[in-house]
Amino acid sequence: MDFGGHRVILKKLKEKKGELLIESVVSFIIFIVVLAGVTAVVMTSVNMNKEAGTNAAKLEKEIKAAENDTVTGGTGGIMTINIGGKKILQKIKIKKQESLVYFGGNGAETQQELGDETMSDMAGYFQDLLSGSVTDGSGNTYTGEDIFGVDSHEPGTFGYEIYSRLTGSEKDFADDLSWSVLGSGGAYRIYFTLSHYGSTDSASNVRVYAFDGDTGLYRYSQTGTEVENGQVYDSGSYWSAWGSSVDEWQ
Amino acid sequence: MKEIFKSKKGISIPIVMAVAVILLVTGGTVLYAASGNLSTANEEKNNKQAYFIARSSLEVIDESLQDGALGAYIKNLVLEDLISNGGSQVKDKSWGPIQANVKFSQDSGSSISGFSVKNMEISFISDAAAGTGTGENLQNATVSINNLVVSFKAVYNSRESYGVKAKYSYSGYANIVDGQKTWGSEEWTLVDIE
Repeated sequence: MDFGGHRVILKKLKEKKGELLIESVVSFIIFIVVLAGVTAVVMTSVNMNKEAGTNAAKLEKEIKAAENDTVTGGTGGIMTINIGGKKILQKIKIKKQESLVYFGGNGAETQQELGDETMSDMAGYFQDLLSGSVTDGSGNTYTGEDIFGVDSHEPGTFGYEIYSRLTGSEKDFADDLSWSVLGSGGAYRIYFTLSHYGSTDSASNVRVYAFDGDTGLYRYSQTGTEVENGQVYDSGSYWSAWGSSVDEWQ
Repeated sequence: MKEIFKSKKGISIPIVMAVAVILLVTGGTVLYAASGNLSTANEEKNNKQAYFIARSSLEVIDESLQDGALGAYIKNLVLEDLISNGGSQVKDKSWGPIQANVKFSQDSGSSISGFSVKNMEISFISDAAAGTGTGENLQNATVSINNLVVSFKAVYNSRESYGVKAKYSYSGYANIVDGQKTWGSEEWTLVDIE
């Protein structure tokens, strides 16, 4: 057996005192770490580019579909334009094409329609209070007390139970005026004023619209109603005849 | 000192470091470009969303102007002005800019997140003249509106915005009996959109 070659290598290694080996190993490790890092960065970049490309292609398709209005159905809503003290309500149909949201006109909703709808819906929700199917949030059933819109933003009140069930546009409508539900027993009437009175506002001889819960008919007074601290009371005078709609909405 | 520079010991580490720096710079550049591409794509999507808000809003405003309450409001401004002028011709009267606030709501009660229309303004020039009658009983009161400019800014996510300016003209006439207005021969024309 000849161990001559082996001894030569050992000798050479001893001469370098391991420096070459350590240097090579360190270089190799640095290179591998950097290479792994750069590979990860490049892979991430490729993925990001791919995502950007996919997003761009998807967006192009969405734009075409939205331009051609291919989405059926949609959610109803209202675009409200306040101009020169006048409130203009336009019904809209909101549609979603993947991530793009767009909407279109869906006809105008008149104040009269919205007023009728709001009163009618309030009457429906008030019936739920009367029947006991809806409570004040603490489990208390309605016992016949007056309900005032000025309190309706406070959870736990009967007013809140009515107000919170209204649609967005009905809430807007109700917020722009003052309202109350007054009555005793099963008979009741809903009253709307023309403008909003806050909790510290009082007025007399206010014009008011009324809805009768028994008949489902509407009427309006020329004047006479009292508002105390934002609470509307029934004391109107010069009432119009009862009708199926209030054609005198503000 | 010369010895150190002449010596080849430890040369592989600087070489590897140099290669590493080159690789890292190249990788960083590629990543920067890729993230730029992705953010451009996202920005493009948000810009398109702002465009669709603007386009949708203009469609609804157009409907309200040509066949709804907004048009009626503007026509009545001109007509009331004619009445308050005793029925005498009012020529080249400038109106506005009249500021308007726009709000959106859904029937479900929730608001449409991220949407808004800001800085809506309307300005126009009107001509009005009455055929016969006075006060609340004007007959054949002609109204023409020129250079009616509706402008607004559609904003998405409080960041991306899209400005719109639409120009209209109108002509028509009204007969007023005891304050009740009946409009006829009405024509709204969309002149230009910017």
